[in-house]
Amino acid sequence: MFARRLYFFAIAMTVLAAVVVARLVDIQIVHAAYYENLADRLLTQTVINLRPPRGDIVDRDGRILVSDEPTWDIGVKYDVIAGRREYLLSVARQMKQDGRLPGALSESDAADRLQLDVAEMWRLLTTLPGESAESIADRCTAIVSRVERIRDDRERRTGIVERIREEEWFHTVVASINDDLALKLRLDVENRWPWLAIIPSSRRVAHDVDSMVHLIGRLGAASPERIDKDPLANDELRCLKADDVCGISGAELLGETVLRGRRGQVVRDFGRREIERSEPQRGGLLRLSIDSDLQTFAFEALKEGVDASENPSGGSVVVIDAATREVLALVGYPTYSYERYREEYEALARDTRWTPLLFRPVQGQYPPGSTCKAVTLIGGLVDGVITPETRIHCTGHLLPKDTTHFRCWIYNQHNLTHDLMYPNGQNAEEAIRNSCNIYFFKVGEKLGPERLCEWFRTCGMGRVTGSGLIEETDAIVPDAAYLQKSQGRGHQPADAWNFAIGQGEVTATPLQSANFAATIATGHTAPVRLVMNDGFTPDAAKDYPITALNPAALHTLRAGMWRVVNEAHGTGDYAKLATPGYVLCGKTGSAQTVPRVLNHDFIFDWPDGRRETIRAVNEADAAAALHRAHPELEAPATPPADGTVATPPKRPRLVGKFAADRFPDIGPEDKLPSHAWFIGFTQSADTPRGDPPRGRVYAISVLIEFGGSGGHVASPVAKKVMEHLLSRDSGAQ
Amino acid sequence: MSEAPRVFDLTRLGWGVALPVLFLICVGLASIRATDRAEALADAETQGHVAAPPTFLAKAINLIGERTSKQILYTLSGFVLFAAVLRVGYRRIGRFSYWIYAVVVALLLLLVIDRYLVDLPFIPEKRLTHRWIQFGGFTLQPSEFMKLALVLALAHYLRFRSSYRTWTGLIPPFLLTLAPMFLILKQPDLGTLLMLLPVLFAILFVAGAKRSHLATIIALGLATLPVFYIAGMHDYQKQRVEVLLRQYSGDEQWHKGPGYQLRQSKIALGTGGVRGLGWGQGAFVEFGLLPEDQNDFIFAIIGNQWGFIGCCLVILAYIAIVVVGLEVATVTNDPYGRLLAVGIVAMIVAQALLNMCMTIGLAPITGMPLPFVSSGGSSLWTNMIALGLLVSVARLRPLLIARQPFQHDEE
Repeated sequence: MFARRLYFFAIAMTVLAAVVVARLVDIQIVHAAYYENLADRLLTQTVINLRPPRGDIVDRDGRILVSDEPTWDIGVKYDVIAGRREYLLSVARQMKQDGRLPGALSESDAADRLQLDVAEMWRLLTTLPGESAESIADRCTAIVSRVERIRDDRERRTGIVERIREEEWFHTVVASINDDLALKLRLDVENRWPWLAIIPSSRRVAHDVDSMVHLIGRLGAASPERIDKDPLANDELRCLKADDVCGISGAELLGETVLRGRRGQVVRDFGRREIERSEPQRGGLLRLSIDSDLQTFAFEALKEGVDASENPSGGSVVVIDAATREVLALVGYPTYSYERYREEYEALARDTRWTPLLFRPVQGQYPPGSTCKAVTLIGGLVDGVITPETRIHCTGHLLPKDTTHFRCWIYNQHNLTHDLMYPNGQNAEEAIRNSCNIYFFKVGEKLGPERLCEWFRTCGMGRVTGSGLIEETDAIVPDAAYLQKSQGRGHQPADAWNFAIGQGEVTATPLQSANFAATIATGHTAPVRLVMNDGFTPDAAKDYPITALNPAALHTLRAGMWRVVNEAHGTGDYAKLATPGYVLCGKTGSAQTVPRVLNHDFIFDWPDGRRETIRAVNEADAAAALHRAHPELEAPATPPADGTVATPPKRPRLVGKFAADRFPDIGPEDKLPSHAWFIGFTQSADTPRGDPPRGRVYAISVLIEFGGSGGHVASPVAKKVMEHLLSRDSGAQ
Repeated sequence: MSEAPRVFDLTRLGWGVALPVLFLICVGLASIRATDRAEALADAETQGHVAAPPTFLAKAINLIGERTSKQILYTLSGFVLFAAVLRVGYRRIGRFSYWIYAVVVALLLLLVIDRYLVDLPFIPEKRLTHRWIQFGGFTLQPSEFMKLALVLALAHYLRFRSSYRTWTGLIPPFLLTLAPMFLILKQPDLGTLLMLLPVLFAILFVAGAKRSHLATIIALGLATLPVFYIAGMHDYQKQRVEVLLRQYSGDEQWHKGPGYQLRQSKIALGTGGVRGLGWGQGAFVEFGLLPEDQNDFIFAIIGNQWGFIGCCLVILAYIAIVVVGLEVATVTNDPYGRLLAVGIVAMIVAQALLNMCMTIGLAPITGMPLPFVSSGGSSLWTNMIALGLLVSVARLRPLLIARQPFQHDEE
């Protein structure tokens, strides 16, 4: 039996060996060619990617707004960044061999000498403009931790512990130095200090774009999500890879597929000989519809308008070519510095007084106020609740016994009613001209809130305009579903009054408002166009419904809007153009709003009953301030080593927050502040009143936050911008 | 037995195991030497600084290659161990079986203590495992010695018994095996741990444990595998199983990540073809493209350089060890020697087969050297001592006037 079992054992081992041999036959004989092929493809070559320059962003006339410019980076050898003495020893040996260091010097002494040079180099780098010891040290720490992460990854993956490529590299310690400095460094120290290299590089340079930093947008590191969802993922040479930069906001993001270049590749064999090389190709031009001259002018005009207003806070001007819906100007104020964004970001993000990071024309949501009466009028006329000749009395206040709510602006300001001028009441045109609240309360009441919301939507509100900008918001059309979700209620009768004059929950962006003005001019809704490149249509624009509006209703509306601006004492008569041959038709708005909350009082309760209040712009800042005030909170919450139960650290609990400072700083009894609006369109002076506009038709929206009266504050800005645009020889066409 | 035998006075059977082993050692050294060159070059390029002025020894080491010189040193000391074991004889060593077992278990216990209780200075943590004991310049891996110690202990325990033909009788041998397995599990070192099982089963099977018992145990073990996979395995261990299952996946990212090692190994074998690229030839050797090419994956380098033919010769050498080793077991009358021979053969060959299987993508990758071929001291010494015992069994054939041991009635 023993012998038989041994025999079995031997057979079992041999069978296993036979399996191994069979598998070897499969790999080494049957599939040898397959593995040969794999080896050729994978083993004998390494590929180095060459980063392509990004394409330029230009305006409609081809003026360059941002571009990749060649520049120089200062690179330092990784060993020196990581502070490895072995590297200095090897440099010392080499320098002794070359005779650059005296041969009598011992290697260790020579390395000490080089160490002094290294220290000198770090000192030199910290004295460069815009650099400090901290900034350099931070960057070095980041480089070291990144390289070590790569090495650890590799070690975990393959089990190899050895120097990786990144440890042989020069890493950029100071980016984008100017040519003079680069030349000086090359001559002075590059030879003397073999661990320093001046590396050709590129950087994104903005050319006089103060008025459109939001629109241009920013570049940032490609996040894993972006890499996953990259539309060019299938193109080996154009897809995003980790370590790449890509557009993360504004036009840089919108035009990412156009702007991104095609990388070049250097293919090398394992002897580091170059086998193949393809040069990187610069990305394409992204041509915006923006007219940068107009944009700059509008920015300056807006700035003046905002600064002169009673509560300077910010504003927006949008100009659209009504026929093509090309956006000629998309201006927000205030902005920030393109170049210093990184350094100033913390301050910018906390500036709740001016909110400079808000891309107002597309991101800002404002109650549209009286500009919305245009929608109410169209709705009322088309639904037949009024005719153009229906006359409605202005009684000053809507509710007979309540003189404090639902009042006409004229009653509000002058304690008068429109009936003084129009004893028989106003018809549609006159109501638009005078922006009579009572008239539109009553029209809105007849339409009802549900129907009004439908009309808002029909006119293009409550949806992005199709610019494709990621910043753009839908704004709010407060239909029943929205109110249910946000406030848990359905429509109420008073909603109709509010919505009819653009108050209550309804909001619009300046771009939507300008596009609505263009819709009034052309008679149909359409998406705006921000990028002029052929075939470039954002998804949002593809889905945008194109609806023709009732021509008769528009006729009445346009006639009213003509009278707003061009008749003496029209609500927008400050906007009357001085340009010969052209007139502006428009609608003003003064949209009541609540002040902006600048910061909150955060209330913290301590376990022992103490209460502490900290004023900060957000909860994180409040917590940080609390920790600064009480360093003992920083103590680590590790359990004591002696095994006793850890006493829970006495931490204060956030129990509430209250709005603290507001802008504008009004008292509880004061009148609410108003945003000043103007929307309108130009037409040649010979256009019969109310007819579809002729000549060059530009739509405009002007918004001045907390500016007060639209007629007095926003209209002059619109006038200035339109006069500039119309009188300019080059024009936009 | 009266005249003291000379050390290398081997019998025919003794040579029969020693020659294949010599062949394997030579193949191993040649492969290590081939892959050493690339490393020496790479070092000179990147590091480029040897602090001391080159002595004769340093020059010699540089010429031969650092790892190769080390391996030569291990091999020579291995021969000394082999000779010493042969000189003492397996029977005298066998008396201390339990003691040896106890000492190695104590060493394993030290490693576990280091991991869970006190940080001992002579036990370094490498890649999150505690497997090595360090004495100055060199390291010992007690789990390698455990395999042999287990063979000794099992053979010693079972030699005069037949109790293992009952269920309860199987408990002590299993306890002897499971105790060190548990300790090794805590290092953790899954590969070495699993190598204790073939030893146990081979010895029990050959000694005549009931087939139904063994089959039941194996079946039970296999049945718990899925549970073990889900509950007992770390993510990186699961990933190794996944590497095996996904080796034909078209996902290039996978092959650049976790599947890298296995695919490199198969490419090395595949490019070797039938005849191989020749000693020291090809990109794998030149540029060190196969990680662990001197240790766990040396078989792939052998296949790369000497092709299918080289691989088959190596396999033949192991089969020779099986055949001759079992012949040794048959010929000897000493029950202890028998079990010892079987255990040693099982220990060496099972490990060799598993190592090859993982190299060619038939088994999950677990760190485990190819016996006599891979670089590394502990493994080689263990195997050389084992070889010494085996040859010693082959040489000392006590004449017993008794019935042949382990002649049970077939169940």
